[in-house]
Amino acid sequence: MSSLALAAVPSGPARPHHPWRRAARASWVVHRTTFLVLGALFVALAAGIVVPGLSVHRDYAQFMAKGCPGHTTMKGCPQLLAAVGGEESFLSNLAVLLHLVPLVAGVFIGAPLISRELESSSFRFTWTQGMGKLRFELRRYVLLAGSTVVIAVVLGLLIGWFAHPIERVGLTSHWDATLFDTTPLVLPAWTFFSMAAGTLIGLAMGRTVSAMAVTAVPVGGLLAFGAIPRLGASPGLIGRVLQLGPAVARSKHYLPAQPWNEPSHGVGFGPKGSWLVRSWVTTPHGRVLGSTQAFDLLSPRRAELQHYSFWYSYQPAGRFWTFEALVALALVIVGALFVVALVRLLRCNG
Amino acid sequence: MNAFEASGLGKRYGSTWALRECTLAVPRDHVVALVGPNGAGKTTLLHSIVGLCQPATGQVTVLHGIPAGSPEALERVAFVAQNAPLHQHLTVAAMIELSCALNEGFDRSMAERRLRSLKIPFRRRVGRLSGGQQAQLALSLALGRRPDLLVLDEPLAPLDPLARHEFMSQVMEEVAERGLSIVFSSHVVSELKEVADYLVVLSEGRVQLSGEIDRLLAAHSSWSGSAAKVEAIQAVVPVVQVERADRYARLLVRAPAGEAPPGWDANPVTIEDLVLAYLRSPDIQVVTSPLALAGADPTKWPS
Repeated sequence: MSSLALAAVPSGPARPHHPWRRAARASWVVHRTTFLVLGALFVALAAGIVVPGLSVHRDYAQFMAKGCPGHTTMKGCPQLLAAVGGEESFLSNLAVLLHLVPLVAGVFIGAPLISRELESSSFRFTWTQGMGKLRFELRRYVLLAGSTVVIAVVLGLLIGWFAHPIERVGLTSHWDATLFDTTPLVLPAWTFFSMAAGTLIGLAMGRTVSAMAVTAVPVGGLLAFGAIPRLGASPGLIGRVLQLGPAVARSKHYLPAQPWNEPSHGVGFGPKGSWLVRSWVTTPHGRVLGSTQAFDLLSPRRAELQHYSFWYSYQPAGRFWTFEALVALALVIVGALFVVALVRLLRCNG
Repeated sequence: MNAFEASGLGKRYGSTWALRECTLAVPRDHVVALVGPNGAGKTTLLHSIVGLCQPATGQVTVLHGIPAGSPEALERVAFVAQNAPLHQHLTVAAMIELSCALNEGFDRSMAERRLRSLKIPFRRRVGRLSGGQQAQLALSLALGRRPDLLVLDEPLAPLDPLARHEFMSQVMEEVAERGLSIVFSSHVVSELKEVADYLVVLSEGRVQLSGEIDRLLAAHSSWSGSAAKVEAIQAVVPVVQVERADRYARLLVRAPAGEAPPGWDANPVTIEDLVLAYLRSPDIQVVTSPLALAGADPTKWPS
């Protein structure tokens, strides 16, 4: 008997595995490098947040233990405040960096996911296996998108943890455009949206590099447009689009001293924990002052400011998670529509 | 029981019909050769059988009525695409692993032993294997699925003569041992007789001829005689091809050699003659079943 004949002796069917386990195994085989790079990036980013974060939390604990809130001039307190606040610029950079997570997911994982198969023709192998085209592609998408979304959730939690002391001392706000999109709710939603957009574009175009470039432009543009213009305390692009009716409040009949710099409110954030949408000043006769005149009022002549009214239009702190949920929902709905289009296109493909 | 059946199958790419009104039924337990010129629709037909393309009209079923591309069909039909497009960045071992994951009941040990016997290194990346090795790897992975129907698209095209021989030997060995049905497309008409026992000729997106090769050869013959009688013969038997030289003519007719008219030499045809004759005459009526191959009626011969 030849070796070939021996080879043909049936060894019996393999033990059946759960289809998701088999899909996970297949995804691991094909995307091992992607998973490893993703894991390494995650560990690096997480370490980059946790290590300085521990130091910030230690300083903040001392700041609280010394009873510094409200007594910032007390001995040792300015140093501790500076130590906590010194990480504010690092936090901003970190938040900008986290905006790359959805972009990287969409461009480097989503866009090549199917386009590479189409470009190399390996889809003729993959899609004709027992698992089938739709089942394999959807399970693979869910596994990869799920992994990136979980990573985004963890990174969102970590940056929230890092930002907490800095926010508590009033040196930043979670309404800030760069921080608003990096919460454990919105960052994963952006990631899901970006993955769906990238995968759909990849399937539609069938060319890896082109799909990556085309994904980068709208997803990166949306993220940047929402995050980069830090116009005071303002949520991201979609948050502004979804803006709820703002509350309008008026200060007492005198302009509070240096309201822009009052530590308890934070720099330009209106009432504590709120999103200051707009502010203006009216004269005792109700005339709205121009911005230059209003600015002059903050000069040393402020003692003469009796009976001027300081108005501010703002979103109360309690609405933060409503905004977050709305933004996340909008992104998830659009992403889900992309996934539906992806399924339809996969069904029609051929 | 049919290996596959197409009914009114049509597939269009833009304004061009790759397949049109394609109707045929191929019984199981055959090695089916699908031949035709470039652009005849061979790959489109094979892709329809394995569910890679959605027909614009009609339908395809496999293994006696299972819709092509359905989960049940995918479990039982294996496909080796043209140029064996596997994942080039994966190693041979990873491709086996991938096949195990994508196919429940994949016979891993069989695939591995087959590849070992072919001396294909497991740790080498697919992209660094020769064309012949890639084809053998694709075949081993397909056979490891233990399919009931194996579909091969131009499997011999990238291979040198030795590799072709080895590849087809492996296929025939599997047929002998397991009795699976095989459909393969090929340009290499001269080699068909050695491996195939069923022929389907496609031309311009339509089925021109299909049937068991032995029956097709027996039902066709080459007649040589006076050119003056060609029209009279054409009135009685279907003439596939006419070649004239001065006063003589050679006809390839759809009739057995023994039914040639008096005074004409009759010879059997080779499969190459048959295929080429049909391909040169794309307007010849479609024959979809051996039963349709009617012999000539000798009482109608011209005197």
